Amino acid sequence: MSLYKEKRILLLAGVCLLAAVLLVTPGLRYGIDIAGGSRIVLELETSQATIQLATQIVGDNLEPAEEIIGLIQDNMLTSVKLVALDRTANTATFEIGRSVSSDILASIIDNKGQVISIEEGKISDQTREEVTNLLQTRVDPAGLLGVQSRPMGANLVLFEVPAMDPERAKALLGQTGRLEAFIENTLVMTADDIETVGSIRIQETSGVYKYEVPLRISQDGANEFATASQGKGNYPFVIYLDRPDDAILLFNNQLLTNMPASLTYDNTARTFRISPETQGTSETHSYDLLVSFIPISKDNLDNATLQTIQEMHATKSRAIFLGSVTDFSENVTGSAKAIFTENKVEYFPKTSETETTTSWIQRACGLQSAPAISTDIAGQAKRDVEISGSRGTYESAESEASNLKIVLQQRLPVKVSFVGESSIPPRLGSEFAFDILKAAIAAVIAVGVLVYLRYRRPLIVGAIMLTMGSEVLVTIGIASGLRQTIGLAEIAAVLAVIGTGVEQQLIITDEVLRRGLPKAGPRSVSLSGRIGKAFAVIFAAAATTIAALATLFFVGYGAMKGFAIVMIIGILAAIIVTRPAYGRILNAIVSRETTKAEKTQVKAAQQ
Amino acid sequence: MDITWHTKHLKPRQMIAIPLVLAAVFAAIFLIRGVPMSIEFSSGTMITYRNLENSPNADAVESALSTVLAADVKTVTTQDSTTGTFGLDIQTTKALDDNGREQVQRTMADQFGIQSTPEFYPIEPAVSQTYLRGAMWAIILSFIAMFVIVSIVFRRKIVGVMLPCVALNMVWALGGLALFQMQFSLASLSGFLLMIGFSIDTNILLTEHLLRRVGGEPRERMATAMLTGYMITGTSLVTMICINILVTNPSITQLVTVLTFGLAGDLFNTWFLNGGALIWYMERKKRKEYYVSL
Repeated sequence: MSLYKEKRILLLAGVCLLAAVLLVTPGLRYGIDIAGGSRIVLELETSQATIQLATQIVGDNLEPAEEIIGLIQDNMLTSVKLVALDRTANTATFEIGRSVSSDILASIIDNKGQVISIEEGKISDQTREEVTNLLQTRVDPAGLLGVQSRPMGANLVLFEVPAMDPERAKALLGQTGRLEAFIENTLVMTADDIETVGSIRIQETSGVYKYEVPLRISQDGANEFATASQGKGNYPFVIYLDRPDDAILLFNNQLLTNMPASLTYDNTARTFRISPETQGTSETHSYDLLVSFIPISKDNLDNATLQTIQEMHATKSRAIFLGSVTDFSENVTGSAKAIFTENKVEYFPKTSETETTTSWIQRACGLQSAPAISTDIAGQAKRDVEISGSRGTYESAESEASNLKIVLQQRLPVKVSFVGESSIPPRLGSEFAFDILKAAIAAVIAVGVLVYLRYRRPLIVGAIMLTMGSEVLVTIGIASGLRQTIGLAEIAAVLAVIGTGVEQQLIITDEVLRRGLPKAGPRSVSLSGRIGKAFAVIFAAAATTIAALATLFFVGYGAMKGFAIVMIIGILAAIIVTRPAYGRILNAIVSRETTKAEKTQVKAAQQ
Repeated sequence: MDITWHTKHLKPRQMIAIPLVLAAVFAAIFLIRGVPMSIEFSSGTMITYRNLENSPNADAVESALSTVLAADVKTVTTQDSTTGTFGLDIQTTKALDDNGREQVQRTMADQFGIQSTPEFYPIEPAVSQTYLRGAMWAIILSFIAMFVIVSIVFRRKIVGVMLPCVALNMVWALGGLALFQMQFSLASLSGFLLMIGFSIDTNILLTEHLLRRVGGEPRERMATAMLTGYMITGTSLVTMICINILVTNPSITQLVTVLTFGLAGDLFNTWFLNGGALIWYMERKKRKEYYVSL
């Protein structure tokens, strides 16, 4: 039978072709060493407060502490954990998922206890790991990207995300996921009420792409909505994500001279009011943005404004300038830094020159959408809520909606904020790629020479090289199809695949060329029988190695997962496709030689 | 030279003793010299420069600072996406006091003309304790998984001897790292995994030949298997050495060092230790059969 019609050979050819296609069409994703990526430093804004409890804790009854946890959670909308308890002094230390001043905390816990001390920026290892894992899931849900993180200082975490631009990495990592929804300034729903986040929908109407992120709300949340929306038909249902309620937003007062009709600034409430456009006959209700805005002159802060800011500093810990650094004089930013300290002053520029003032201000507040409650659902227990918005292009609508979905699915127990972001160029440049190529060629030649020295048959050397090459192609192709990034660890895995591959081909070759076992008696084993015996060894070895690698994948560290995946692919490809094909090729080579030898023998006998 | 000499002339006890003595030597080297941990596994300091006009040469900074600080240094150049200015992120395994900080700043100013003041942050291992615990579990679980599979395939408990043999290769590799004072890094960790894969192959090759094949004396079967085994391990070793000579990358060197020592150990741990144990098992079984048939 011709070798070309053999099933195993056809399978090999087919798989190689598929791998080549997979390699070209989605293209290889390289790891951070080869392709560069983003570096993001995040601050986890926790604080640990030690409180003298008013009620003595007796035995296992932690009720006095739990009461305080409940109070802080309800008032600050953040997670609170009990991290230490001193029974003799009757003090408890709580970890609060955002920064808090002792005045505010004292007013929240009221007569339940007395605040002894607050340590800002202190975080327990357990919480830090929890947050880091959630953030990793956001940027790398399948664990194929090879994201690395590293704790830095007391409460900073450094993330390295390969092949992702800083903007997208920032959008995914920098949001806490604190969802709030208000009707008439009353909080009716929080992120805790979300049961599931549905699939995003995008619709185009006359060049504008509208996206929707559907949320399924728990029954309790729906009941709360029903009570709050009673008789509030046509009122807006205002949804915020990560509302900067701990910040003062400072904007250039020139903005007030040129305001759209739907936007008004309220001097006493110190915020903007948005009046939705009237649609048809239904009445509309305006709503206040629940964030503090203060108009300032871009050149200097007058005393009255300065005093207001200083007074507000008691409850607000950050200042955000609407605009970039250069939009305000150093004098102004300097005074803000003097009040809030350098790292608590941030900037919020427009996305582009064409962005409208309304959208800019809404974005600064974290306002997601404010649909009017239709009269027929007001007062009903509604369990499906949508967050919607619109963008100019399909891509931006899609990325906005999917980012929102990811952030809402992986909500963080603590508030995060940016410290720095930068892109990093590839560490191992073209030079390294050249080195690897050199090494690969050298290795191939070395293996070729050794194999030739052992068997003295060029055809066998060729067959081993061919199988080796197709194995590398198949492994990298399938890894690329799975969207696995190829970094240093993965290159090591490819080397391992080549190594074990050559090893196993040598086992098969030895087995086949040995022609029976020493003193095996008169029964000499057939050629296919010998190949079968060799396969017994190979299957056992492959199964054992895969078992070891699979455990590594499930509990392994980021970079090791990539290693495990690539090597498992390589071993599977080897035992299913390339090894059987090699066996067949070798069989063909050996039987041809045998027939030739027999012919010469016959000839010799005839002569 | 006959490389299969020991299979014919040594008693199983002697075969077992040789690799154990050698492993003890490597264990001693490891315990005495110790293996330095790479930046991924140790705490240290992160030094960040921002707003630089030009992109500094990361490799030059790395070598200059590692000499000054006498510690492992890893440098990455960064670029600010809004201003387009450059930065440097320097990680070192050393905790810097005021003196060390000044040294860094002076080196950067003198050798690279970077005058600005950097930020210093203490950093903790990138591979946290939880991950290390995870990795330990991974190794334990994978050994259990290997034991289950080889027991199913060969149906004899004696094949479990294979596992300490694989584990002893790790002792050789650790000893090798300690001998050359190479770092234990993510790259050398990959080397360990690779080596486990290779040595499972040789051990299974041996076991298959001794326990499942028929014909010939066990010692003869072991000798034939061993020729194949030496060939495959030799091929891997030659390849690794080629790669190491050609590629001057520290990660590759660490990986290759682990593999080279691990595979060298494998030559002894498979063909003397595991082989010795299996021969002892086979010969004892044969004696028993002999007495029973008597």
